[in-house]
Amino acid sequence: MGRRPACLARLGLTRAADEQAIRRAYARELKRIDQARDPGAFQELREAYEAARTWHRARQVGLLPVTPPPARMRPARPAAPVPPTPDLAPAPPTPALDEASPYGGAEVFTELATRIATLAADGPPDPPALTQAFSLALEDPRLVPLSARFQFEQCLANHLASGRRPGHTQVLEQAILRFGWHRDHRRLARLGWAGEQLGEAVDSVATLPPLPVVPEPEPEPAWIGKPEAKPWNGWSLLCALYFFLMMIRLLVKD
Amino acid sequence: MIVGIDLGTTNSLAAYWDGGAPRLIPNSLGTYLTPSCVSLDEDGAVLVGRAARERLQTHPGRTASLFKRHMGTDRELLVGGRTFRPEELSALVLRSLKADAEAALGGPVEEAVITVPAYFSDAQRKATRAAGELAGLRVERLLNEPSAAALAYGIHRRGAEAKFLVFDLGGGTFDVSILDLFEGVMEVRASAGDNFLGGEDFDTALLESFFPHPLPSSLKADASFMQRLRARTEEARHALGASPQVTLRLPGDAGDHVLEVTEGLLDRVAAPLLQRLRIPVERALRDADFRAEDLDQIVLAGGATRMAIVRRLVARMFGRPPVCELNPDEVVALGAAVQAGLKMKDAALDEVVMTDVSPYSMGIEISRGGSGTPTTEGHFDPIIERNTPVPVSRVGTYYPVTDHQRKLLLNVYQGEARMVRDNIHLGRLELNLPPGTRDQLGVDIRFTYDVNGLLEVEARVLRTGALRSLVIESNPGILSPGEIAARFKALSALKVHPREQMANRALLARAERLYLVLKGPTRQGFGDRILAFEQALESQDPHLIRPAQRDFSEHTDRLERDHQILPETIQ
Repeated sequence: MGRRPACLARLGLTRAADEQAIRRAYARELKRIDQARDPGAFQELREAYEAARTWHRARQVGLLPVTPPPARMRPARPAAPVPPTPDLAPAPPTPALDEASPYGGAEVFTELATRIATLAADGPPDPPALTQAFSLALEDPRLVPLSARFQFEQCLANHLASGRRPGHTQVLEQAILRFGWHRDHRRLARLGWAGEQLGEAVDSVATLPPLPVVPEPEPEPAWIGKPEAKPWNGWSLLCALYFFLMMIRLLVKD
Repeated sequence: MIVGIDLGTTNSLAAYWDGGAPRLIPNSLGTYLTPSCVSLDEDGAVLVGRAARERLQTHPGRTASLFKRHMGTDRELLVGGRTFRPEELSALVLRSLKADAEAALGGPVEEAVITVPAYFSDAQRKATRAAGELAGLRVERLLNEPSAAALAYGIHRRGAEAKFLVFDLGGGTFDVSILDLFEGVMEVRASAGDNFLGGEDFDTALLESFFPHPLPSSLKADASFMQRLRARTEEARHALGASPQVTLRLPGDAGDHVLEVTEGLLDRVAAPLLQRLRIPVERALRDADFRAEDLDQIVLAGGATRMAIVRRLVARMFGRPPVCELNPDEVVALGAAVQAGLKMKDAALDEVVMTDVSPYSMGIEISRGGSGTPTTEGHFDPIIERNTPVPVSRVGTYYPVTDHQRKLLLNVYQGEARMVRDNIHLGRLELNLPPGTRDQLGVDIRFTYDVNGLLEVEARVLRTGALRSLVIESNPGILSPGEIAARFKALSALKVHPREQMANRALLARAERLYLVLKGPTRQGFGDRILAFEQALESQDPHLIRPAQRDFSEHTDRLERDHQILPETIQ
């Protein structure tokens, strides 16, 4: 057994601690802190708690056999256990919903994908027809339960991230508008690998059309890290040089 | 003594912690719900609560309601020829609740825990705190409404382990919070919401559906008629739960207007609102990293969750019926009282602690790119991610775009969009940089978010150690301490009807509202009775007032029943 990570020491735990023990220790320590008066102590305890949970989860991964994710959807991940990184890492996100889960979302998505393929068979799909196909899918009663809806969105993101197909840009635009991907940076992050792949594409699409948001009444372009106007730009240098030469000419004449 | 106050869009309540359980405080009329309405009478005296709510229909120009919706803006509302800021109107409601608490507890009340929608922004929270100060209350804590509801539920099952979702649909705001209860810790895992979605929006949708048919659009200009229509529509919406169809009868100049309100109509007009209810639920579940099946219970709070269509939607989304053991109108105030007990370090609450989260992401605007790729501006870089446990303080280190850059403009934003133009601008700070190349000019930017949900920003230039902090109060929607002091004086100078007269004022306001809908000789006779009661009140003789009040009250009740002021329901 190695040294006890600092986060476990803060919670008064040994390396044998399980999830339940970590929660209990956190609860005990939390009751000793006045959050409003001593925010620093709260934050430090909170970080220790989160690090301890990350440490414990990483250990679990090492102990349990790892089932590789479907290669088609996600990049290969090292099968070796993640080395414990106590005291800094936030909790790793749990894997996004699988396409094979028993919800209606995947079914509705497959139907939509077929419809899109038909629409985009010869050239870019007709926008109203595409909009209608999306509306039809999203209003499907099978998508009323939350889990089904999440699954649908995950399938759509995977579909878009796994390669360009006919009508890609139009489908991406629909997806952004319907799920508000441009309005919620965390929403994309929750979609796992697919969300990561789509991030840049979402930004570039989102900057093109005027999106239905209330504009800020701040007309002045705001920036950070924009260069100040340089005191010696081309024009001023040229003028100075001209002035200098004229002076010399005057002096030489005299 | 610290009291807990639920300052709602339509109704407000106060409660206190009595050492073992939270208790609601009755107002001067003996009820718990005080309508969040303020009216100025002809003498310029302030009426709050039921009396003001009745006057909404008889004196729409002298009465204000729904002002919580304007909190955090610099909008001023005209009431009886005087302008008020939304904070001031809220302060008048708080003053009335404070007086009720003092009467019930027999001592001065100077501190309060006030609840706010979890999704209230920085400006809205500051406005709420200012309202408390304007009412002469020190605001010990701003507590998120769904967290308060969770406290009221959680207090009965301290030992249990449970995960639950609070679905809080009030008169004007909607919040969702997901809580994890373990070992006496009530941990809010995520909050999301919509600050402009509530029961009032369902009334508005129904009301709009009456125009231009069966009601002519010209009626919209009649403020008094519209207020009456709104009140009756709300009654009809409440009655719809019990019967599938309700008939409204409103007297007009050319005969009565008869309106049929059916469940089908409500379903149709409410469909877009129901769609909007889904969005925060989905976001909160994602952020909490839970699946719908992981939740042990769905808890309802807020009066608008009484609606059958809302309950049906919740049941369909989660695949199970929601729980509603506590009165949804009262649960937030009860939770605020529990928090007041926690603040007073009550021994009975020794083993209970709650942690909350920041509902929004807070960050700055940055440029991306450089080193070969073109630089693009306007990206949002969050420093505190939403749903981070609070209090929290986080630092990010940033560098200028070019070497020898002499200035850095720091723009602070709140929101979730990837580009800043879709987020809310909170403030700006200009930093002067010393000479140097870009990697020498690191700037540490620290965001600190406290338990009340208020933000502070600090920037330190690493090379010089120069520290600048950002004052976000400069927002036009926020009052400065000096302005608060001045407005406190102005509000204190307003005449307020004495508490003991409020019952009579409310009765009189109700009678005046009834008078409007009566006709012919009944109307004339009732007018005479109103005058007689007013004369009895003016005598200020309790021996005269008491029998007159009993008599007049009975007569008003009878007349109201006979004239079907409550919507008639058809089975």
